[in-house]
Amino acid sequence: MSDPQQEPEGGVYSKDYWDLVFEQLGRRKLFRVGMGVLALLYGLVIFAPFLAGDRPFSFEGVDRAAYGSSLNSLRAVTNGMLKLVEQPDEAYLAELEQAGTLGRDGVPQSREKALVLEVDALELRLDVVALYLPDGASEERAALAAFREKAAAGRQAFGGGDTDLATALLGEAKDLTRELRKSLRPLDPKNPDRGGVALQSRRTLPLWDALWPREIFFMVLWVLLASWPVWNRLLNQIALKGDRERIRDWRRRKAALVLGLSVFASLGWYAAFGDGDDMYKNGPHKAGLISGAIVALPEGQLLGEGTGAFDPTWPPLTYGLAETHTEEMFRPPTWWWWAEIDEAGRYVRGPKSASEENTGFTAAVTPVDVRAGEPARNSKMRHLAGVDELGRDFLTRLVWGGRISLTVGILSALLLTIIGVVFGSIAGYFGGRIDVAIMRLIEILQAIPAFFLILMTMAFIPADVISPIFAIVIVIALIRWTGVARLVRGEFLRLREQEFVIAAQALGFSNQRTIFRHVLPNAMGPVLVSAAFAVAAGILTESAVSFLGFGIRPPEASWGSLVNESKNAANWWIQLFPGLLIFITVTCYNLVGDAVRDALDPKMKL
Amino acid sequence: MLSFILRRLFLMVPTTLGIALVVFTIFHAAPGDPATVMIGAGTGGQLGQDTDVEGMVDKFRRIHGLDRSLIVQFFDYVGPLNLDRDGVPWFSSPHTERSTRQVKLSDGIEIDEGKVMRIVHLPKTSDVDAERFDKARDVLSDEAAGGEAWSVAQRTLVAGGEQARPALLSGLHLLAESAASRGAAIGRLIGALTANTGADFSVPSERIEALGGVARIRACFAWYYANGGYRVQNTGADWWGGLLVGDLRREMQSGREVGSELVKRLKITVPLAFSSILLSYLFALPLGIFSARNHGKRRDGLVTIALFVLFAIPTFWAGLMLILTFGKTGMDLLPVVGLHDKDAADLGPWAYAWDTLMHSILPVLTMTYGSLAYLSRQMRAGMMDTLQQDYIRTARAKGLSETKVIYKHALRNSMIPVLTLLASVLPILIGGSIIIEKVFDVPGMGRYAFDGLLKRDFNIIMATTILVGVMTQVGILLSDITYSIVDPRIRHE
Repeated sequence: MSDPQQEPEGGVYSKDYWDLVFEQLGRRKLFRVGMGVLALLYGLVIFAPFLAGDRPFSFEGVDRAAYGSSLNSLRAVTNGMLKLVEQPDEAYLAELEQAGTLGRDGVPQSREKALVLEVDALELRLDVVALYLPDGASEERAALAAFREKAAAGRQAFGGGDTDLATALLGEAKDLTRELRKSLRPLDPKNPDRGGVALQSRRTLPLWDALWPREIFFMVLWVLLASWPVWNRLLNQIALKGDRERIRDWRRRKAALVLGLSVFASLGWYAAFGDGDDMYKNGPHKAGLISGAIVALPEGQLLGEGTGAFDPTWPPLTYGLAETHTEEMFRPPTWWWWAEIDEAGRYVRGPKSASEENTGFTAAVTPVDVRAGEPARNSKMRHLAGVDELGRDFLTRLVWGGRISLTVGILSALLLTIIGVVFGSIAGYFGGRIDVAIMRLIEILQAIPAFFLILMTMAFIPADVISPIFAIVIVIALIRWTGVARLVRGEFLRLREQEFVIAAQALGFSNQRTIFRHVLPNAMGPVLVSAAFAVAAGILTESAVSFLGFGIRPPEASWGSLVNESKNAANWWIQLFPGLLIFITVTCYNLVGDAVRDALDPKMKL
Repeated sequence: MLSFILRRLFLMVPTTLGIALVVFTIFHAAPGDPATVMIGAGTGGQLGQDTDVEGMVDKFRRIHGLDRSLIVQFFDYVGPLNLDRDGVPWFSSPHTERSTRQVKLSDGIEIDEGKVMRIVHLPKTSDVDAERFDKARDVLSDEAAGGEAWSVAQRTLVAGGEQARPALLSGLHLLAESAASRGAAIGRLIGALTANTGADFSVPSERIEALGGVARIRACFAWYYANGGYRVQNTGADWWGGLLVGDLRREMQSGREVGSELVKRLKITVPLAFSSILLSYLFALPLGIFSARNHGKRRDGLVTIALFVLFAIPTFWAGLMLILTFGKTGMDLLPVVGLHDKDAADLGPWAYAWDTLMHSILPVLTMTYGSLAYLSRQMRAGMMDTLQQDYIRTARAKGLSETKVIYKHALRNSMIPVLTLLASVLPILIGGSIIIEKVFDVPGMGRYAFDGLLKRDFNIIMATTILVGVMTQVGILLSDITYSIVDPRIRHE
């Protein structure tokens, strides 16, 4: 039996250009290493919520604080609805005007819209209350359902124009809240004699709830791309039966499949779970578990009667992005010799310990606060990359900061390549005066060192007008496109004289068709290479600009701005780790770019 | 060749103007008002709640001419004419127009009120006269001077005619703030102005009740603006100015001349940059040759990987890591801050030179490693390319020693691409000096540019950018010239 790879059935197959390129790339060890490390890095930042965060994957227990506050605020919300229904439109608008929010975005500008918001708020609270009510409490559930119905009927009556009925219904609902507050009062496990409803432990998925649909997109995309070698081979050999002709036809379909699946997954996620949480917001669980507002309990058990203990599964780094441990400010990485802290909170050795160097200034020491899910005080795993100036875990910041660095790199490279290709092809294809004008512009832009220009532009874009992340992407692209444009122009000048282009023109094809179908695809090779290097350059530029303080600003952080968090060389971990990550990323991109260049054109070899 | 150089030098002018235009466009097109940004940056965000920010911004705009039309501003910067000088008719600014407003009184009559502000002397007024009028005006507004002195002063001011009016109006401007308590002085000044001009500055009592003495002062200004009063500030500057005549303006906050400050800074940066270029060429060429000669061997691989890795290190990080290693926290071998010790001025010449040398090791090292990696990669490529040429094979076939083949036959040809890189290395060094001088706290050009950016000082930013742009073009020119020296086949006609 012959190998289908070599002897396809039906038709003679010759390897085309891209087959050769892929073959070449597969053979380069450095390319594989570079791609592997890059995939790992992108995986780390894409899956950042799973790696570093303060929300457990799944949680079983009772959120007593949420239950209590939801129950207590039912009356206020119903009252608000009632007021909205009763007052005339003019009064509502006058109220807005007095508050200075008339015509402002995000503030409901009519009673109907305000009522919708109130109903949403009410539903949210009712859901929380219903969640923790025990299964057996059918009476209480019925009371709650009756209240919910009454409020909904009131809202419906208002929508139907019957204000009087709505007022009456909501008034009744308001009266119901007082009874609800009494009958649904939670049982306090410390004072069981006072009575109340024993809340039942439920299972929630805080981490999954916090995810954004766009994160799902990148996660699926990453998984599909990372497993490409595996499923690509399976698809080729099983579904396509190794037919090279069909494999070639399927190249585009595979790319579309990957993108389509990712988009589909994220849209599905949005439909099912909606938006996520702001990652700068601390999750309630760690603080709640300590204060007792949240009680961990195996699912189904009643609060106060349950016996087992539930241990939630936290992400490996149990620190929220904005969670601070002020008592551990600038603590070195915990595997480091100097990081050990005694019970009182003093450093045992090293320059930070009082015994070694008495500066005459005794800082107040606070014992280390080990919160729920965190490693022990002197565990080597506690802060692998140290702690920053506000007491935030630096590794967590590095993982999240990588998102911005890598995003800026990719986006800026994408944008500058697009701009460069557009200008370069216009200049190269049409020539003449357009060419001269564009080349002159390029010359001027290239006479100013790009970094200088980018820094300057960033300095003049206030952070509150455009988010620095987008600003830096756009600025890098608008200034760095010149290289790509020259490259594409050169390719176009070369290709313009070739027979197939002349043939296309002779056949009367439009300029658009000639450019996009005939010239551009043949000019894409060098562009791809330069795009790989542009990502590396983008990451380097962003980090340098952020380091100088004109790029990413707090609360956001990128690897470049993280370096800047301590000017003191004694806090070496702050300066070492982010730079190391930048360095690794850039090296990998350079490796990949080099390999692609060699594979695309063996003659270009350096 | 000479004509080629001259032509290229001449072409640098439009390119430089283009650079100025780009910077200018960015400055004004960036979202956010430059004056507001500059005020915010200049005060370090220390604005109190009751600070009159609008007033400050307005004043800043007027002082630095940011209220003029953009075209005027640009050509003012470029020169060669100083457009904020007196008497240039096509320069106008909303604030140099006479700002008068109509006030409607209760009985329906409209009266004009002019904006009260300092009025500068007319261009034709000599400094001596200006001083004389100002002095007379001061006497007139001084309560203690007494009747005799007052009448002398009034005579001077009336005799001064048109030229004495700015002094009087400026005096009124000074008094306007304390109009309630200085009614007598205001009366004397207005009296002098009435005698000078013959105009009537009486104001309906309704306005007097509303505003007090200021109402009359406003009437004076309204008359002045309506009767051809100049309000353009006589800066005392030359007719000639701007970029084209080498005038780089002044720093916006301190008022120091940007040009002389730049020269001072360049004396620090240029030696650093040149020693870095020298060092990188000195090491890159042998390294590249070594790599190319050992092509395919393990040695070559190691060198290539090392250079590859060097190339990817972010500059600022390299600097920080060097400080970490060699500074106080590490081996404590080298000084890491500035270019001199604090007590360097007391040192002898040798000790001073040694001190400078020790201080510049780390900055120069940080500047060098990147270009070293880049250059030796290019050198290796060039050498390998050359070694495959036919004439090298011929030389080897003749039985020449390998050394002779490499250094006599191959070197000059393989250096051509590397030399052209001078053009790209020079600006990278200057641009990179921002980072290096920030990291090592060297008060050079890069640091100046950085400070300018922090203060959002348009003149500093413009000057440094243009300087770097010019240096880039000079670098390109230099490499073209060296190109034709190294390779006589290339002639620039």
